[in-house]
Amino acid sequence: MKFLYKYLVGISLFSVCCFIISPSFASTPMETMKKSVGAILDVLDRGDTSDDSVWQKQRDEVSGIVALHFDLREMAKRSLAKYWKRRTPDEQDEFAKLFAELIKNTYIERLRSFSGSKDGTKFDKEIVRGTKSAVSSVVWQNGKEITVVYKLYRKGNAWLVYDVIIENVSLVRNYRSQFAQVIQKDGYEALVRKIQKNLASPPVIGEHARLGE
Amino acid sequence: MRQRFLLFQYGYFIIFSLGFLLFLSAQSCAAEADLESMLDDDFDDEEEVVISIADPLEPMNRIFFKVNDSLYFWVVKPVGKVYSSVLPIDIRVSISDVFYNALAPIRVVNHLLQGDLFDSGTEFSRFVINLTLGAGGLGDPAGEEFGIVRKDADFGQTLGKYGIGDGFYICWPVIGPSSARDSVGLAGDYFLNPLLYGLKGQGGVASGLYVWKYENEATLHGDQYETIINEAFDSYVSLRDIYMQYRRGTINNRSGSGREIHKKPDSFQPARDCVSFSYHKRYRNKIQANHHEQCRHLQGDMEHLLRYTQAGIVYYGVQLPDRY
Repeated sequence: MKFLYKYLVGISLFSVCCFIISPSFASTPMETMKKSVGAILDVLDRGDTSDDSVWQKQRDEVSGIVALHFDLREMAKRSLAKYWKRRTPDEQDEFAKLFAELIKNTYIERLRSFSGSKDGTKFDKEIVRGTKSAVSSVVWQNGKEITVVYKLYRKGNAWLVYDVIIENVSLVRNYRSQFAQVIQKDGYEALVRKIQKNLASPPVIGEHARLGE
Repeated sequence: MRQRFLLFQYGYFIIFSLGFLLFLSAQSCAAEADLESMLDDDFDDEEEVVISIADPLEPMNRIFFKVNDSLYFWVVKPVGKVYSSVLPIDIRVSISDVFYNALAPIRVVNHLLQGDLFDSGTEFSRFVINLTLGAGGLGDPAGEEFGIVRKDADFGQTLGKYGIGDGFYICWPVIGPSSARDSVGLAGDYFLNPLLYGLKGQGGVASGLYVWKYENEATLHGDQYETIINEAFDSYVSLRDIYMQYRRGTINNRSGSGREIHKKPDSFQPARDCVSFSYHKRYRNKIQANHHEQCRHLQGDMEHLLRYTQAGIVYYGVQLPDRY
């Protein structure tokens, strides 16, 4: 009996240790990413993406999943960096909206020709530091290994993505360097016009599929 | 007395559990150092506008960028269309593999210079296996049969790992984005290029081979370039930024580990819906998941569709009818 008591105390001490070390029992950033990326790949797998009408539906569905797990407003804010604060709240809202459309037209549109699969996507590492986290994954596509890292932050009980880093190239950072260039040269309004123009032209990704295939 | 004894017991237990947890975290620490550095990133400061690299030569660089861009759309792309209508994709991939394999000395030496014996050995064995079993590098049995995955290295990267900074940005005509350091790197790698010794005094042949390699690669990766250009708001800045981010990543070694080995299962698993395929000659009766259009030709064969994963690539296998 005494032995059992000791055993129980030991276990409870151990679990207290664990509790202190792991910040919470809510779902981890990696679990979040596994779920959301898995859901996106499921949508892509469900139909023939080369069919226009099918793709329209799939794209909307993927956008829905992205809107749930990716903080597009935060990404827009980070892409504008110091220029974000100089905008009025209305302008910020407008920009966030444009940015969300931009992501839909570029990154999500790119998924149309994505030929990787769920088996070819592996989440391998995760680190959490306070309210921030980085989750890395490896995607096999056309025989190549592509490293994709998601940066997340904690908002309430959820982890939301605020940057995607593909093969070391950060989406937000790349936009930030371009936005800064355009704003410094021609001003904020010119940037908004450029994004609107970009959105008005149809996505080009499907047009120039690999040369001569 | 007995109380103290108990305390000791728990004390040991606590020390043991803490030690064990520390051990666990130390284990994962090395692997996570790369990721850690991503959170430490100066860019995480949301206010700062990061200038990826000094660009004192910007006016000249922009001209050369324009030249390269025109070269791509007016020469490389149209030539590529003809070229790839003559040579099917699998042959172009093989040609690309031969060039890649021939340049293995650069990678072997640079891995050594970086103090990475394992990767140097990896590249050496890949070179030997592909040269012999892979018919001079036409095939990639090292990767596909043995699961030894490519691991790039170059002299610019080596210099970067030694702590030498980027310097400034240079956009070379034809060669494209580079930095002061990477240009020195290119010059260094030039002396490790076997062609330099194999084709001594035959400059014409050597440059012909270079153009061939360039064109061949463009037919395989041109769409990536076009995507970057089409999505950009300032394509020059975008390309410069992507180049610099990518190069810094390869120097900080954040790219994939590339050491995973998948074995071909004894029995094929039936595949899901046909999403995308293209016929891959190396696998005679197998299809590599690749492209959308060609999937339609195979609809009739769907019930025979099989798949397995090897070296991380998902292969879709079918019993091909005779017309292949």
